[in-house]
Amino acid sequence: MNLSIEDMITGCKEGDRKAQKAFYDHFASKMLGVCMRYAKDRAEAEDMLQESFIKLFQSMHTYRGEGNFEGWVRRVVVFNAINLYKHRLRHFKEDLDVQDYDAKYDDDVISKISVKEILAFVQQMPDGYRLIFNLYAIEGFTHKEIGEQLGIAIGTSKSQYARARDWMKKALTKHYNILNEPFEQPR
Amino acid sequence: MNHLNNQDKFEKQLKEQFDSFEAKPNEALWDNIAQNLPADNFEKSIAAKLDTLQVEPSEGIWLAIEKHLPQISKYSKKLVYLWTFAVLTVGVITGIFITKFTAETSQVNNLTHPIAFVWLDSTDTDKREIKNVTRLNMSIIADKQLAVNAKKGENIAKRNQIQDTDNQSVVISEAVDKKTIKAADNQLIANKVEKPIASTNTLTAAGSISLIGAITSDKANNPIAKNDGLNNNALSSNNGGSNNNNNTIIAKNDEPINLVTSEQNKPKAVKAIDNIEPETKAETPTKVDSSSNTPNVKTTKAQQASENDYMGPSLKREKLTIIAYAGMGYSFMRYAEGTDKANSAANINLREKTESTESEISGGFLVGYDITKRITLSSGIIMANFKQTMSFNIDSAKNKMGNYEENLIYVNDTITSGNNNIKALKYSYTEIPIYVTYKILETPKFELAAQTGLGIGFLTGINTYVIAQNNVGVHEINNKNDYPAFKNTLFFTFQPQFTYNLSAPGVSIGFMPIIKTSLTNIVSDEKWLKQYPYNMSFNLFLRKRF
Repeated sequence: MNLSIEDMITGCKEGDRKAQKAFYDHFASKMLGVCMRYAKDRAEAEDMLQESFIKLFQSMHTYRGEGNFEGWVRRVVVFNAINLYKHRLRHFKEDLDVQDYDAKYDDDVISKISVKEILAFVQQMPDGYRLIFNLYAIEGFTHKEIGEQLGIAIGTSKSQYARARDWMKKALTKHYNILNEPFEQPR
Repeated sequence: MNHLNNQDKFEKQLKEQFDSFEAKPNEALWDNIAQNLPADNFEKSIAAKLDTLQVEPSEGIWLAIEKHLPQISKYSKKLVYLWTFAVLTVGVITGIFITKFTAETSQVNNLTHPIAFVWLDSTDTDKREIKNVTRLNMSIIADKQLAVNAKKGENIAKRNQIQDTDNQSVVISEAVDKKTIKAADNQLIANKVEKPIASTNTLTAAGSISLIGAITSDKANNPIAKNDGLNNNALSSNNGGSNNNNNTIIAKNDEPINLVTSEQNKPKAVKAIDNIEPETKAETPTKVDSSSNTPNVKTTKAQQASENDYMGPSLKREKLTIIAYAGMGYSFMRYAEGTDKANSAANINLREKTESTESEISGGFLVGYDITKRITLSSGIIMANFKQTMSFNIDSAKNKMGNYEENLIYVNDTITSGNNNIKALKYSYTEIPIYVTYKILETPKFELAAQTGLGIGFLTGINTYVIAQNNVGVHEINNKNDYPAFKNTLFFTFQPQFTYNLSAPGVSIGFMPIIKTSLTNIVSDEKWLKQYPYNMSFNLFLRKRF
């Protein structure tokens, strides 16, 4: 069924099941991609996606047509993730292991690694670091905003992000270098 | 010079020492430096890369989502069923009420003084006989004459009811089948003379027909009127007087009463078809003291019994009552802290400042049953609405990030008290109560009772606004599932009833102030402020006993 975004919104507001399904089909893959970044695995991401869509359908009437609709949808999904993890973050003491790798990071590394490989590294991060890393690096939140949303100090957000960033750079560089090491024939 | 050489040597050594000195910095130092370094392309690159990520969800996800989606049409059906039930109930009750009321009013009109039913024993000379009363095809047609042959010495009535406040009139009732009314031999007292009775009515009634005749106190010489009363199932004959209807024909004094049929003047028996009790046998007439102008009145056992049972239409107490009430009230909201105590005191303070009461209609139907003389149990359906107004100002964009919830408006704005924005807050409940009523005081005209009880309130409509707990943003709630979600509740109600009994039998009107409060929190999210709506309303009611 090919419905325009406007038709989907109207239908969803009226509780039309077909419009809701069309809306889901349109956004589910993209939003699961978002959820995968915040979750530690696919199962958790799918739970998050399910919860997000339920909230989206319940709150569709509050969308007043202002701004980008996909942005609004994404915002709902992201804030759902925040609500899910901020409780964990307050009690989260796990630290991020420092990558023991000294090679210099090159900007080209990211472009040479697949998105699924990058995602795998993101998911390896502890919940708190992963959340802050996503909010700052991907969503573009400021540390002040992150602090307000998660109820943590701005300094905490900054230091955790700095660690997550450094860890990620080293992890990606190491991964890239290992993949591209010249193959040595056994003697 | 030596001295200078020594000094150079010291500095050189010191320099060498410091040159080789290293101190390991704290790990956080680099973090602090790094976070202030201008961003490289890392964020841009990784954001661009991850933004392209799309993952096909499992097939079961949609089914799981669908299960949680509200069935809008189902919800509407629920409401439709509820209101259909309510309307039907009202319709049936009204129908019963009207039917009963009309019937009783009619009876009251006919039986002006139903104090006693007596047999009137006339003198020997005042004996009458209904010769023949016939009705064909459920109708008495005007041109068919009914005959009554009055004969002396025959003074027997069959289930005739004599009614007169001054012992002056005789009411005679007869049961008839669809086709025939036959007067029993020697059962109806007539005067010496035969009086013609003309009937111009057509009776369409089936079942029993009552003949109401009247005899005045001056014996048979007084006018007797026969009236084919068309009162549902009743054929009545009244004394020519004030109670006659259009069908009454007044017979002249001393003229023989003569109900003429095709077999005119041929005496025929009136057979009791039904409704005739042994006690009312016509063979047992009571005596009338002929020496007096006032007929001697005696009561049979049957009449005595019915007299004892009979309290009169307006005095008879029935156990079933129906109350319909409507009125207007004012609503309020009581708040209490939820599990999340952060800012709750300030939030309560702000909400109490911004919310004010508003008038709203109330009403309902209650069906009650008297379990004792003083205690009544009632239930029914009640419309419990709570309406308020919220007036507030917006302190723009103090919080850039704002709150997040899907139904938030003024996301970034701090809410303060003021009058720049006004919103109506409404919570509509349909309540199914169980009440106990205790009658405190009762006089023939007035009653005072206290009614109290519990009711389950089903949230059937919500259109409200709630200030977020940190006083930033306002939640717009048009559906009970909108965050923080609202739920059904349990109501406690106290309502004194001041009742005035009307002259119509069993019908009363009254005044009923109601105090109703929610006993349970109506907000689903336990973290949020707890809300307990309550209201006070003033209602008028109409009560009918059955």
